[in-house]
Amino acid sequence: MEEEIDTRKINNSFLRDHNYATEADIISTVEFNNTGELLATGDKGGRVVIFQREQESKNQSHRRGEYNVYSTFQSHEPEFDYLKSLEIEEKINKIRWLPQQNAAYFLLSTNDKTVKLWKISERDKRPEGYNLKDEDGRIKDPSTITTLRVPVLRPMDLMVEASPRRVFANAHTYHINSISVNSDYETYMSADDLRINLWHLEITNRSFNIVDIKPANMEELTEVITAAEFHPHQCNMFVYSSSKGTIRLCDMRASALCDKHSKLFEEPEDPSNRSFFSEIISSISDVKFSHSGRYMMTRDYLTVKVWDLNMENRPIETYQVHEYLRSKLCSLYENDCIFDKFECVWNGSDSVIMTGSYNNFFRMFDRNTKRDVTLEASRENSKPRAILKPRKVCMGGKRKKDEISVDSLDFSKKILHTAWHPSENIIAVAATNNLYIFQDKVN
Amino acid sequence: MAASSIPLGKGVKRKRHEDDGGQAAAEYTPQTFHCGTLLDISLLKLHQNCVLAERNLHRSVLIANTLRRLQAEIRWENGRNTMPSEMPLQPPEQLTSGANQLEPLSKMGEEITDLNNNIAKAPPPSLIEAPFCLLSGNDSSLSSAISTILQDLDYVEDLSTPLGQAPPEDDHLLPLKPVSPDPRPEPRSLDSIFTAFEIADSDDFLIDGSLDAIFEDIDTSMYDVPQAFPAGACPTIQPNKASRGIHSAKPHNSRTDFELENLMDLLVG
Repeated sequence: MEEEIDTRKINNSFLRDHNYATEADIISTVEFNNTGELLATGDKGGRVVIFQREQESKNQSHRRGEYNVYSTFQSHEPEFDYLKSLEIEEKINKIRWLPQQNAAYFLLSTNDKTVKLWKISERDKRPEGYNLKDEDGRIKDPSTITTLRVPVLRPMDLMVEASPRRVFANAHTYHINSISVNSDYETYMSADDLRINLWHLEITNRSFNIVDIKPANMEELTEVITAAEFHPHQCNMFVYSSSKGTIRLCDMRASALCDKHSKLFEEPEDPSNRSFFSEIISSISDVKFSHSGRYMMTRDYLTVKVWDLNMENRPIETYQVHEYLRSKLCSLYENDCIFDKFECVWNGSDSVIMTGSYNNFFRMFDRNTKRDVTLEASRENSKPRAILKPRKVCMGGKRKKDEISVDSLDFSKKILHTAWHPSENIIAVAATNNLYIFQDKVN
Repeated sequence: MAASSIPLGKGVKRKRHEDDGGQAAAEYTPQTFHCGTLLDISLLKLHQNCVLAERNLHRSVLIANTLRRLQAEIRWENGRNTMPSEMPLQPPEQLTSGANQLEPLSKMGEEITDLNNNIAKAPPPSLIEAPFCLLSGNDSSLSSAISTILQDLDYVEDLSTPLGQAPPEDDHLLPLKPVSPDPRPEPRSLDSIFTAFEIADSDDFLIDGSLDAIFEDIDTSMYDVPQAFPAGACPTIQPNKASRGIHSAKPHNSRTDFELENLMDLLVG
């Protein structure tokens, strides 16, 4: 498929001339809101940047709405746990939007330990004509007031304010890896390595533990929770994935503590592909329900799998993301790349899935036509408004023109976080500290 | 982050085996060599993860599982290899073998190497055995190492569990000398580690009172502290575990009669 680049490359790097990127600017999560009007990014420095899509105007019909910065705020600060002598990183692990119910926008953002509910609201009017204060804000001397008047609202420059409305803290001993808003819009869950807690959006001093896989003796620990998500329509169902490549579907109606799964999704290991790293590469880094709620998708190190919720013993589709890395697993283990956690996303109609890879490549798979494409998010190789050229990685032997060989891949340039607009073909791709937004070609 | 791939195994130095003139190298299966490299890498990673300020439980668990798998593989390899070979005077798990071949990055590997260096007075036996068959003798120590690291993760992460320990996070792989707890593992000289083992274990030989007189002038107080442990046992900070380690390295596990006689000759005459 062809993609036109509408490169809204937002480079927060302090030294723009150099390739050096401040570590705090590394984007750690990307998420469209439910209408696609807003796009939020979180970074390693604890900041959230929200982009808003321009309203389409008649005189610029050849350009569809572009995304501009709407609001920036510091969501989390670095903390120090004095009791355990541990630093708590301010890196934003996940952002999830709440559905819009009034003029303000709400989102949940989380670092390793604390979830916060933020309200983003616009202010474009301000009251003028106070009785007790003058225009500068100074208190008037009451003896000088002779008349009463009613303040009126006058227009002002648009100001976007972000304010923390709730702080959900002290509920997680381990690092939070996922948050998911329930379809009842009242509750949400937060998952760390060993436990999942259920919260009510209004109540911050209490949460319910719904999954606990911590063994009595930590020596017996062999499996951790890697991701969790609520079903998009059934408010009692959720799934969580593990480091051993299993996904458990749980029903909260069954019991208060959902340690017993309702369904267990696991694909038997392929004996021909067994190696010391089989378990590590089977660890699931992301799980996402389809919009329809009928399917779910999981990402492990080398593949993306689509599962039918009605069939537990194997996925219905498996897509190879970068199979050429299978022979390099030992090196990737040595340089820690094998632990990278890639995310995956569905498009609005659940017909295409997308995930990232190395060398700033990202891959899209069309589930209907079974075609796939590899694209690159980089400034050097693409001009704005140009159509992205498909890329190809060659395993060995003769390298064709425009192909890149496996050994030339840059493993420091990884695309872990991507997002797809809920209804249109607009994607956001985070490449280290740069955000790329691509749109479908408009004729 | 490495930009290009590192060829498998080529980053690790291989020491030519002195006694054998290099013939031994050809005997090692690539698989077992692979095991050894991976083992070192994994142990180093696990240790690094523990001392890092940001402790990643997911990573630790994956590495620990890989270590267990490697351990099982080595055990299996060892069992497979010892059967056909002729039994030398020393028990199979005490063979010098290839522990000398690789330069282990971990403390554990060094201890084992040094232990073997000591034993290798006699010419080394058949080297068909896997390089890390010696590890099978210290299997329990590897397991306990993994267990301890996971347990300490628990302590740091979750104070609600009553463990009763007070370990600093960065003391997992302490150097052998209890006096200077270093946050980073230093490469220990072969002699010092070997010496620690020898003297610590020499107490087991002093059953007969008449032999006490020989050792009266040797100051072994430093090595009598409970935290001093013989090579092969997992270095932990808990005194009770350490002493357990000492007991587990009893002569009947780590020494044969031949070696005892050898040592006695050294000490007495």
